[in-house]
Amino acid sequence: MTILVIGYGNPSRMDDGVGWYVIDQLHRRWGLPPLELLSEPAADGSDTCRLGPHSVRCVWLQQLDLDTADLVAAADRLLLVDAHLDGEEIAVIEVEPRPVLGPVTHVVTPAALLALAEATYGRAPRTTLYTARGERFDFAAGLSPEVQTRADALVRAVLDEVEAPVCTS
Amino acid sequence: MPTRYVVEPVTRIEGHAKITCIVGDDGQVQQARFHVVEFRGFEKFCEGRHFSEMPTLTERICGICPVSHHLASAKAIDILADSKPTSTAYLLRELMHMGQMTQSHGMHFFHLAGPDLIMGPDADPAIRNVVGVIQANPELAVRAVQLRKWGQEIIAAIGGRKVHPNVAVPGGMAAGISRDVGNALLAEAPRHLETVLIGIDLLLAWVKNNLDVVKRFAVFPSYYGGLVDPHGALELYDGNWRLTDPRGRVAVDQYDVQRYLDIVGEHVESWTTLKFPYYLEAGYPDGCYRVGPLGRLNNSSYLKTPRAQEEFEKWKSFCNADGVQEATLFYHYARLIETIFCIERAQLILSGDEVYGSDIMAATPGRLKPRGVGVIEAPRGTLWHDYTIDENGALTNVNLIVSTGQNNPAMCKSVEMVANTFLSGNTITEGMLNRLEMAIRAHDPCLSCSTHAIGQMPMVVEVVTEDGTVLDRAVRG
Repeated sequence: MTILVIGYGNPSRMDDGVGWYVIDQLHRRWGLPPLELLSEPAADGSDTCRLGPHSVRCVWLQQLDLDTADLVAAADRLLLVDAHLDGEEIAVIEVEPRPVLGPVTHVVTPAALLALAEATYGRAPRTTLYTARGERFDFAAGLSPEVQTRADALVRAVLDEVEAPVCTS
Repeated sequence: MPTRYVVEPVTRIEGHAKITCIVGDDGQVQQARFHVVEFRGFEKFCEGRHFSEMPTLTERICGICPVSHHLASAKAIDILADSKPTSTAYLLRELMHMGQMTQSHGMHFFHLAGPDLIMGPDADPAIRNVVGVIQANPELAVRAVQLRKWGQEIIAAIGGRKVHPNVAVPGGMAAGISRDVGNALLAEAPRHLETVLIGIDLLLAWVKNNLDVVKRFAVFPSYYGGLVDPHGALELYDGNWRLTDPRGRVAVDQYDVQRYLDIVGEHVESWTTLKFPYYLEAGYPDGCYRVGPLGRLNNSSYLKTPRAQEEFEKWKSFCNADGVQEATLFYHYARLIETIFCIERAQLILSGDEVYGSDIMAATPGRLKPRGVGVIEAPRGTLWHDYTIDENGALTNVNLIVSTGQNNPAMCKSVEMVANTFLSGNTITEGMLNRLEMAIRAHDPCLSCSTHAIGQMPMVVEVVTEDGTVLDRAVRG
């Protein structure tokens, strides 16, 4: 199975960088370079790693955009990691394709991204969004202490999803 | 009692926007307000930092047009460092900018505005979206994705990555481009030019079939601003500033961008944090000007590349007797003409030898100038970066004037006109919602790039009286 993990957000806006933090932790665990040493995901997918029967690739973005659709369509399973504003401290949401774009912005939602992948490439993977509620979005690097704890919980949740099948195989 | 209609489409922590239409007893919209929460904190955040950090810092403002911020900032720090980029560095920057313009314009027309045109403004929002476009014309949709990717590949070829490149330095660039990569990009250019021309055919067919709509849809006079070269031709990377009046006469020409505050004022309204730039001599609100593709084409005498000039002449045939295009929906045509210009400029640069040179960084003399203003034509319009530093190079003042702010009066006016045409009593109709979206989208505002949150962004329209009683409410998204 090809698993794609996308962490997105703006690491220059404190807790908005949760997604990048999770990807960085996954890289370190799997022996890949930390994000601070990389400019962007390898264009040729050479940063894909093997975990038992699975190919797992981590991607980090400031925001989802239309170009992400081909990457998404090529995956069998998609895990998204993000921050949110209101609600539960941590949320795990199954995402279904839904093709509505925002009326006045450039934002592409996870649901719209899946719809785009489905329409353009004929397939969209089963997708789960892992998200932590942010507390501070100031112009600064690093997570707030509360969100640091939530971010570590997201790392564990993603690892449970990605590595569990390896243990049972 | 006046009735207030509120459209609140965005739920992000930044880039909040809503539309309020204040309607009198006669049912006419007296005033429309497009509220934008501009996050001025970024400018404060930069103070105290060394000026050389700014190209890297400021591009974090936006995930859609970081190259524009990167290059406007680079131009400002060239001046602070008193270091003029080499000719190779100049071309590398311009080429990267052409890539940025192409990917941004391409995405806007084919994916964001396309649904309005292909599906029509009265189509169900469930199909009036990019997926609807793909289903209606799958081949064009794929071409559009490839066009955007080409623009991003240009950025990545020079800047090392397609988003947030970190390559411009005082007096030049930290990296160049190889001829092999340049040739590969060049080989693809004709196909992408063809894609834009398909887009123009599609657009003009829609205009032909909907001429009455185009002529009634947010058509109004204004000033128009943008950069031009010494002969008055469209410039996107460099040049001096020109302002054209509502009758198509040049009001200000070849103005030194370093002194922009001598002619541009910023009006403040109590209901928004976004300032309203205007031409001082004409006063506020008469001196408000439109920027971006429509503003730039109304402001330019001609375009320097052959195919774009050919299309520009066709554009002129749609203008009024003064040679001015006042129709908001013509932003789309202007955007596509500019995309042709960008592809042709990229072809020209990539076909030459100079961009592949090794002399990419000028010497910095070591003395600093106290103030530098960097200006570029970003996809959405003129972008100003104005920095003041102390003797050690630490920033003491930062002022960023973004294009969406300059277009704010025009967006308010567009919304007011559309609401007046389509508002029916106290009832918010689907038709009104669709057309409000179209009016705003034509300007391609960039409101929400710095950060984001999950969740669909609803468009909420409320009809309320001034005492807050909700008479009608509609939610979309």
